[in-house]
Parts: sequence; structure tokens; C-alpha cells
Amino acid sequence: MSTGVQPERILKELAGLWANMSKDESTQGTNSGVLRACSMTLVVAAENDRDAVEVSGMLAELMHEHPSRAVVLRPSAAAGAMEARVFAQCWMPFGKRQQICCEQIEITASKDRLDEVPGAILGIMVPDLPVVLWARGKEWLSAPEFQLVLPLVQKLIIDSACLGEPARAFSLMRTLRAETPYVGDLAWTRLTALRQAIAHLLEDAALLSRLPAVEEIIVEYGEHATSGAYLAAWLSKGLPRAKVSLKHRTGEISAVRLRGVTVDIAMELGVALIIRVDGVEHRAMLPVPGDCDLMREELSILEADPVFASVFDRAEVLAKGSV
Amino acid sequence: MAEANPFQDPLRFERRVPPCAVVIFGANGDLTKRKLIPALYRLAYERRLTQNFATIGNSRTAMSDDDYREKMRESVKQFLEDSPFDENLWNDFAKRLFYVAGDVGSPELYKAIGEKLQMVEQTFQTSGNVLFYLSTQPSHYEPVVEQLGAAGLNHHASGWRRLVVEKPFGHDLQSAGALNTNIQKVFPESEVYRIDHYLGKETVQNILAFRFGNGIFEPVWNRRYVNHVQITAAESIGVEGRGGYYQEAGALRDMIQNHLLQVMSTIAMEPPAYYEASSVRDERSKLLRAIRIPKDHEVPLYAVAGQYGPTKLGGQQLLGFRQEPGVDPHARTDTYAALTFWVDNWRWAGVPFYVRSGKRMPKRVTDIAVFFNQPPVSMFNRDGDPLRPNMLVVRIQPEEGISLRFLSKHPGGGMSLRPVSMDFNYGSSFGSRTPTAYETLLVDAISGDATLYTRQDMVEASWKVVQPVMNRWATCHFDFPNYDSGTWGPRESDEMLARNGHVWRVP
Repeated sequence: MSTGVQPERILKELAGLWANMSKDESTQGTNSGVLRACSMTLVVAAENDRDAVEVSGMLAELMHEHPSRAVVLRPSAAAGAMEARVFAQCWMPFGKRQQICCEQIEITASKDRLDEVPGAILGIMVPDLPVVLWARGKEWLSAPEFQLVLPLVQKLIIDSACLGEPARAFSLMRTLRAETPYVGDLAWTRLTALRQAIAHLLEDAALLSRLPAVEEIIVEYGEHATSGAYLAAWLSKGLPRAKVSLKHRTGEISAVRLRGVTVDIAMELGVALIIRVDGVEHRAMLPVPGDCDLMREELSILEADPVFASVFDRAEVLAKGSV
Repeated sequence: MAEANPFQDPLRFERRVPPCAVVIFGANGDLTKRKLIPALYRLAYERRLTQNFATIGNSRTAMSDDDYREKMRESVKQFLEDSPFDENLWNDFAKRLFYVAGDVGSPELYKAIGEKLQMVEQTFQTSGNVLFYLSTQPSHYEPVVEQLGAAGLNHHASGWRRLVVEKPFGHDLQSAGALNTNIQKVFPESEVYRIDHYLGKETVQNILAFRFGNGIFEPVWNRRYVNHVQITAAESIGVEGRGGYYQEAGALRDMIQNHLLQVMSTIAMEPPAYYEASSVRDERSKLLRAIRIPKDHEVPLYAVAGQYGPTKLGGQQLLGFRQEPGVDPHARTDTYAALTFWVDNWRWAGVPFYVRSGKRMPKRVTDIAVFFNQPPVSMFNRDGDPLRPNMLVVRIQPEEGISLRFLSKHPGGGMSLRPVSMDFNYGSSFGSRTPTAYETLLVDAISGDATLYTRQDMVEASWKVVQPVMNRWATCHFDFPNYDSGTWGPRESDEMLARNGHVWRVP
């Protein structure tokens, strides 16, 4: 059994890391220097070893916009495992001479030592800056020891698409929202581009003026059921008098239809976004965002998200009543 | 009243510009090549322009649309800052780029522009919205505006028509007033956007966030705690081929009257009630109007002019200003100007604001240093040198950031203090690229947000402040050149501060 993670030792190693990096710079004769940047502590709970490697790659990208002290929690199958290693993620911004570096700490913990994780995080989080927790997968969220981490964080980011059946996913999120100041759901973030396309479509004043004629909102979702519920709830909030139908369809394609006697707007989102207004078709490329893109967006919002908050309850009702 | 779009989400959606056409007068000039087209391209790169967007350039040079596109393509590749060039994106952008050759005084030109605008409106559904951008030499401003009015291009049945005017807004108070009057005969003040690109800089905007987003600075941001303020805008280069233009302008007109007084108004203004155009501009305007206008006999006390002479620097022989190509060998132009401003309001009474700008200084830097008062009683260094006061520096360029100087105990025995600096570097704390001032300001103008643009009363107030200095300098004899390249300006400038017991800091 390993001795465990001692925050003081990690912090000392981090200090040594920075001292060495400064020394390397001066011995190389460059005076451009290394800038240490940090705007938050980002704790990422990886699902497994493979996921931890993937997360590390994503963090290297995320650090450019959200420099952080990143703490990756890596679950270990080996009993009694509890260890940590530190390293730096560095990059050279385009056109600049100075390297910017962020700290990364990887904590490997076996199930039987999960109870030590909250203490370790508490000792190594950057004082006075927000702590964000990104929980990948539902394993961590169901671990009772993990509940001890929640009071430390300002924002919890999850992906309800990975939480299984939508009604249960919403119930879990409701609980988490009560325990953490802010909860972000990547299933909601995934909709930003489509929601923006809908909002832009209505920049056309003529179309906007016909919006009150919409009597029915039909959302057919593909693989992400919670995203479907969010989308339907968001549309319903904008069109409170319209009847809402939320349906599951096979495959990855989602579809939206806003229908009334004098208006008919249909959207189908697959490889491209196809928009039909009164039978006239437009196409637009809507890049499919990866987890890194979604996180980039979520990390820029460390405050209340009023639109998300205003659709959550309705989305839960729709998810629980959907086919 | 127009319906509100119920599906907006300002927290998450990028602010995109509404459909419009931008008409650039002076489309073959430096500003267009270096700043405007690269900024528009960058906005396209970030998908902040709609598909319903087009640009029409005008200059006297005869060119086809394709020739112009090729020219702008080269400019974007050369001047695009911190961004890669994407050939496919450029091709899409270039499809919306057109050119009309013609003399700005000729009515024929405006007929041709009108036809091009109609074509663009039909092809790209720009909704009749047009932003006219005056990037020409200032003497063309009034003819262009007059002709736009005569051709009826200043209004549209359903779209908006706006005018962006580059500085200088006149060359003195009288000409600024005349320019404003003539512009307003054609465009209402609400549709006139006078651009001062300093206000579009991310760090200048950050001054507002710093002052009014935090609770700890405003309580000490006044005469009780602030001893004096120094604003520096230094360039290491000379006039670099712009001697002809510069000898008519000088540092006072080119930098202080506009950019630095706007920066000073941002640093010193009262908190606006809201972050919206009229509130913010009202406060800036009030501050500018509170600056004491020096009497003629006070000018030598409060203003210093300088001009760089020939120097050998780093093994290189540098020309003096009077030896620069296109410059009159007897030119009396100020390549350096330093002024002391006093703000006659309750917050700032008695606090000097020192503002300086010069060419051929030791380095390129723009910053603001707020010097705080010494502690009333010093427990330390009683018999030694006076302690260095706390100082807050807002760095505008090149490395944007904020640093706070305070005293700390030197390690070891005894109680000796030394100043240390606590730094916040904007670029490294937010690793993402910051938009250029022109990107910010173009989006604002197209979106109808005038918060970062100057208003007629602000322009006239700032001319009023410097007019007595210009009048005096126009008649007095200067012993130019009076400073060497690579120095921080003439001795008289140091003396101006010394009279108040202050010293210029070395940025």
C-alpha cells in the first residue's frame, strides 16, 4: 500500500518544478521567461486509465484559454493505490516569445482509498480562486466519498448524456444542483450551436413577427435524450402557448419543427443543419463539438446561467413524460 | 415596436453583427490595409460576420474587384495579428469584397457606390444597412459626407446608415466644430461614430472593469489617497516616412488631444450609472469638461514641447526630425509633448495628471501610473531615504496588465524595506487571443453600440483643453531639437514635475 498523497509534498514538488523551469530558461540564455498562469483549480475525475490519458490531452488544449491548476483523479484497480505526480503543461502563444505554463497534478486512487481524495484536493487547491469539478461518467458521482468533494467546488460539470435513463439523470442533477452553487451540463452545452442557429434565423424580422403563430413544437432527438428535453424546454419557454411534443427517433439525427397555420419552420441536424422555412431549404455546416469545445464554453461561465436555470425544471418534466 | 427575439442567450451566444455593407473611403490606404480589412477578415474567421455582409472599397486608383481582392489578400496575410491565414476562408470573404474607383469630390462616384450598394443589398440581403467608413485623409471628410448626402445615400427606407470618422476630428477647436456641424447636416449625431482606437483596446476597457467591477479601488481613487497620475505613450520609432503628415500634427494633436485625454477620462471619470453608451460617454464628457483650461501665461508652467535631434544610437546614426524625408528643415513640430492637467472636481482637486507622449523614446510603451500618498507617518527608514509610495500601473501596451508596487521587508536581519511589484499579466491569465481594437470597434459600430466611440461634446471638450497650449506654441520660439533619440524627452519636462516635487517614472 502506498503512503498516500501529502498535499505539502505536492506543493513542494510544484515549487521545485517552477524553480527548475526558471533555471532552465536562464541556463539556455533566453530572457523571455516562463509565465505561470492560473485562474482556477480544475479537478477532473476521469473514468479510467484510458480516459485519464484522453483528459490530459484535452487539458493541454483547455489551458490556453483557461489556465488552471489541473488535478486529474485517476481511478486505479489496484487495491491500496494512492499516489500523485506533478508536471507542467506549457505552450508558446502564437507570435509571443514567452512560454505560458500551467500545473497539472495526477492523483491515482483505488476505490478503497477514495475517502482520502477530498482531503488531498482541499490541500492542493489554489487559494482564493474558483474550484471547478468535471465529473466524467457516473461512477464518481455515485461514490459516497465523492460527495465530500462537492462542498469545495464552485461549479460542477457533468454530462447527463452519460448518466443513463433521462428521468433518473434529471433526478440526480436536481440533487447535485442543491449541493453545488452551479452545475453545468454538457448535454445543454452541446445545443449552443443549434440554439444559436435558431436565434439567428429569427433575426429576420418578418419571420420573427410570425413566431406567435407557432402552435406546436416538435423535437425529435437522436442519441442524446437529455439534450432533446433541454431543447424542447428552451423552445417552449420562448413559445409558451405552443404545445410541445418530445419524441425519440433512432440514429444520431435530431429534428425540430415549429408549426402553425401560417408558419412552418423545420430543422434537421445531422452532418449538416438543414433548415426549411415555408418549404424553402437552407443548409449550414454546424461543427459537431468535442468534449474540449464544450468544456471551453462551460469554463467561461463560472456564474449563474439564467437561461439554463430557466429551462431545467421544464426539461425535467418533459424528460419524465417523454416516450 | 419590433418583437424581441425570445431565443437570445447573451451569456453563450457570440455577438454577431447584423446584416450590413461597409463602404470604406480610402480603401487603398495604410489604415485599411493594416487594420480594417485584417479586422474584418478576423471577424469572419471567428464566424462573427453573417453571410449577409459585404465590403465596398473606394480610392482613386483604378482597379478591378479582383485586383483589389488580391491586394487585400496580401495585406491580410502580412498584417493579420496572432492569427493564421486560411485560404478557403479568404476566398469566401473575398466574394463579398468589391471596389469602386473614383474621386471623392465627384458625384459620379456616389452614383456608382449607390449602384454597387443596390447590387450588394440584393445579392447578400444586407437589409439596406450601410456603415460608411472615412479612412481617407481628413481634408476629404467633409466632401465625402456632403456628397453622400447629395446622393441620398445617408438614409434608406428600412435600413440604417452610419458614419465612422477616423481621427483627427479637426485640427483645432474651431475646425472640429465646423466638421461636426457639416457632418450633422447629413448624419444625425446618433449615427456618427468617431473612432479613437485607444478606447477599443482591451486594456483600456479593462480599466472600467478594474475600477467599477471591484470594490477595493474606488474608495482610494480620489484626492485623499492619490498623489498624482502619470500617463505615458512612448514610441521608440521616429516618423517613419510620415514626416509630411506628422509635421502638421505633432505629438500634442496626434496623441494627447485624442487618445491620451480619452485614456485619462477613463481613469478619472465618475462611475457611470449603467454600462451603456450614453451613461459612459456622459461621464467621460463630464471629466473632460472638468479639466482646467490653462491661461496663456500658465502654458509654460504646464506644457513642454520637444523635438528629437540627430543621434548616434547603438552604432547607428539616426536622423533628427528636421532631417527626416518630407520634413521642413526648420519645422517647429513637437515630436514630444508633456502636459500637466488639473481636474477641477471634488474627486481630483489638487491632483496633477501628467501626460506625455513622444517619438524616439527608449522603448514603445503606453501605461498609466497612479501614485498613492505616502503613509502619514513612517515607522521605518526614519533617517534614510524617503520610502517609495505605493503605485498602481495599468499597462496598455505592449504587455497588457496591471501591477501594484508596495513595500516589503527585505529578508534578513533589521527592518529594511524594499519595493516589490505584484503583477497581473492580461495575456497569460487569459491565454486566449484578445481582439484588436478595430475588431471590437467595428463590431460595436455595426451593432449600433457607441459606448467606446467619442461624441461631439467629448471631442470639443478635449480640443478646448489643449487649444491654449497650441495657441501659445504657435507663436513662441523653441530651441529645437532639445532631446536625443533614445532618451525620455527634454530636461524641461523633468523640471515641470520637479516644481511639484515629482519625478517621471521610467516605464
